[in-house]
Amino acid sequence: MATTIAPVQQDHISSCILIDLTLDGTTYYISSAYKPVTYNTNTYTELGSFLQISEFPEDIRTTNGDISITLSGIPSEQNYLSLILTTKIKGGSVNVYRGFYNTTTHELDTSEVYKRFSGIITNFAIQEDFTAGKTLQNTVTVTCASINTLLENRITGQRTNPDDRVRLYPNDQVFARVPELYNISFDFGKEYKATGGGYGGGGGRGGGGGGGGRDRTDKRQMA
Amino acid sequence: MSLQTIIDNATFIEIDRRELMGSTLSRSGHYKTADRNINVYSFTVGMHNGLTYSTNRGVLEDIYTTGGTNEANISLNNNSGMNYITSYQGDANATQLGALTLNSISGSTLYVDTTGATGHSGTLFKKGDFIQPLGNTSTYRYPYQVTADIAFTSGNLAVSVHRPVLTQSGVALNTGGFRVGNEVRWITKITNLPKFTIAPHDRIEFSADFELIEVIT
Repeated sequence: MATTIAPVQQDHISSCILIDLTLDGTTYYISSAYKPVTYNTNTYTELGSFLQISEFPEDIRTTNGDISITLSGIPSEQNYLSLILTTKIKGGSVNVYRGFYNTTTHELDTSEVYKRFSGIITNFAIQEDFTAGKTLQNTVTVTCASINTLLENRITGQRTNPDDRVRLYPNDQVFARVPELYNISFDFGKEYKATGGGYGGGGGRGGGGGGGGRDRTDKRQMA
Repeated sequence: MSLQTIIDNATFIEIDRRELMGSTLSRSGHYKTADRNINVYSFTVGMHNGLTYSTNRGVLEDIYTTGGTNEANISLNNNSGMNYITSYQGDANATQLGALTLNSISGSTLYVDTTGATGHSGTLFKKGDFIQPLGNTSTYRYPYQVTADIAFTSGNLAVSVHRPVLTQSGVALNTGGFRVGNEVRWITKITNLPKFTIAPHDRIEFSADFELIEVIT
């Protein structure tokens, strides 16, 4: 359902980005605002760390585009370089909001904050740009897949093994003997004879006749 | 004070306090703008090549020790010939300015309590005046420029300034006085530090202009 964003209908907008970055159970509140701002009772303060965020892919159809968030490798309030090296990064959640300022008072209008992206961290990168004798830049980039991408990764079927069956239907034992049948050969189409052994020689045309020497125990009976 | 020596001897000072903004122009001619409320001072300082090397080796030592990583506290009016750059334009005297206190801030407005300053008359601040709150610790870092004339009356006066008031960790902005006019200072770092050459006749030549940026913490 479409959301009407009143501020963007004006000739001039003033906005900031708010990011919830949850890593290993701890949420870091990062913003591009000129001062700490409070939204949803959380204070977004990481003023000196947030360097860049990639474009949000938008389309009429639901899109699965990833985004990347670049943070400073130089510690300010939070040492993200150390954090990423010592914390379980993948699987952390990211929510990105765009907040609009009141263009007269220059204060954030908390009624005009909109979620732009919700996703999960799928990768990270640490980059060091070194120019001998001149500059050294460290940046940390986290790549986030949107929730849509994760939904597409859903399991679309059930494996024919007892573990998967029991996971879905705890009391159903229909696949309980599958491990025993695994990698066993059957000659399908051959008439069953309870007393016979070595019935593999049938095979009408050419190739079917070579099986006589193999173990022809009636596996169906065993199963 | 080494960087201050460069500023005191500058052949020009370029001040860039433009707002970070973007714009679009549609095919139908509609011009739309956006900003992030970020507005930081940066300076480009041109230096002449007449500084003598033999008497300014200490200055060079200080400059390159400061380098690009250490902060430098600068003034734009450290010599009398440059006072016009930031001088106070209003009608209050030094005693009255010293009695002003900051009540609160909101967005790009400073609320100034003038009740302690007796003998109100004329204009407290004129458009373009420099003003820098001190905060409760007298360590507040950021100067502002007034955007509208403020009549000097008694009370809690709303003073609009050119950018949203920045907060500073550990500094409360609901008390304290002000630096005004030539007292304001900028805390900067050098973003472009030129090399120097020792030229004939005991002169120092810098390879480029000095570029500084206000440090926001």
